Amino acid sequence: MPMDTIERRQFLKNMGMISGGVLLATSPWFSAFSDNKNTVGSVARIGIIGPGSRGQLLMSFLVQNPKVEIVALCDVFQPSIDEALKMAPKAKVYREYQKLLEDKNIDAVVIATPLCLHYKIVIDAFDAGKHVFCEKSIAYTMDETYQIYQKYKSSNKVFFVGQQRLFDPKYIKAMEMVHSGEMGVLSGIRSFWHRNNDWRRPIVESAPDKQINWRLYRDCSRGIMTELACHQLQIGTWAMREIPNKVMGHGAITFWKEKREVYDNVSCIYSFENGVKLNFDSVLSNKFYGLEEQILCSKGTIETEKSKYYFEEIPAAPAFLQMINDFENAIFGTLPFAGTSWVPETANTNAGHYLLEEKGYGDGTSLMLAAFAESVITQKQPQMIAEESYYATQLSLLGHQAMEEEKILFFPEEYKIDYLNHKSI
Amino acid sequence: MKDIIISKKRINIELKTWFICFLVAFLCNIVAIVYYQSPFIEILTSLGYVLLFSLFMYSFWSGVQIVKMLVIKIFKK
Repeated sequence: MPMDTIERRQFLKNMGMISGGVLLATSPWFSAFSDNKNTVGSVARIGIIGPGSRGQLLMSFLVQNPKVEIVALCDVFQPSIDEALKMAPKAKVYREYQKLLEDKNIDAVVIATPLCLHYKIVIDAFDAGKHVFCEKSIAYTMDETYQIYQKYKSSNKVFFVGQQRLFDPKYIKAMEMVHSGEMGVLSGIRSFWHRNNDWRRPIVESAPDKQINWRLYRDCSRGIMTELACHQLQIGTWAMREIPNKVMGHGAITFWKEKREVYDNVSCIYSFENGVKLNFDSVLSNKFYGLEEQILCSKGTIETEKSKYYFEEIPAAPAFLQMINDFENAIFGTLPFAGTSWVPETANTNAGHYLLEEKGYGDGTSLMLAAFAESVITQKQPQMIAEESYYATQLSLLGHQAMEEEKILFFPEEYKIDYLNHKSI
Repeated sequence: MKDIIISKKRINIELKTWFICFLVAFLCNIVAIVYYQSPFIEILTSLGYVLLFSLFMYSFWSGVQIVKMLVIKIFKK
């Protein structure tokens, strides 16, 4: 049985608590699968532009999908081509992406190049009539991101971005719990992504450092913001069903002071209209807390990466113990003049519950690529996925700009699109 | 060493004393369940606490009796 069919079935079984209607309300991009019985036997012919480490990971999922044929590869770095050919031996190889785009046998392209190259390739791909899957972030500047979105809107083509959390079962379940009101009022979102490594990859075959470690160079990447924050900021807007209006932040190079041009220590605060905050922190010299998004609601907390939720109200102690405790306090209590308000509130030790009964469904990348293939075949763009991704990129770029300028920045009117609480001018 | 003889009457008195302690603890649990609006299943699930509390009360009562006995003994001299 095809892998993607099995995964979808497992996924829907896992989502047993919610009906299809609620699932679509929470994750409208799942409509990509609505025609999937009608597309049996059809194939999306895909070209990979940039089959480096991330590109190869995407390929590893694509080659398992019977509805996908990888027909072309393009890279200027031969070792990447050699590795990619092991997965798609029949693919034609191109050195220039323009030549690949001229190939009429290609329906869609997957772009996994360094960030600074996205804009030109994506625009050219839409101009060449291809459907586009672009790795996040969408582009290097807010203006480029806006131009790409406008190009997509006018192209009538499918546009996906590598925001795989949109397809991750545990995130979908978490959002369903938030949006149904089960967790109470959403009061804040704390996200962090800590690592303890220099993010540097080994140089092979005397390639320039910039070609391999482009994430560390200012003119190629916005570092932590476009490579990591982009994912977590999208969780904030997904949970809030709103786009934050302003951001402040600070970034610095505090530990990895070698040949690096991007921050290794950042902190940003995004603020929504109602005052709720979305925090993002990242330190690349301590990994104790790792990676997490904490959705703080009045009745409970969700930790999406741990796939757990915790209700605020833990079950009360047995009445008999409460009675003894109250008597004890009444007889031996030493500070009757003060309540417990001054007592430090130590962290809750509530063990919580798992969001999903079963584990091991990956991070959504497989489902996202399956949805892309379905959309390419049906030529139908699923709702909201481009918009969610658009704002994820814009917010990460705005956060970066706020850190650079050391200012509170409001979301620029000219880059607003008609989505959630934002309207284009 | 002198043998200690516990009479049947004494055993009955001690058992009755402990039973009264248990009854008091049991009633306290019911009052607490009503007062703290807890589920009545705690009548069963809290039996361990009730038993412990009854033993505590029994020990306390025994302590009081021992002190009383010692005081009487001292004054009789």
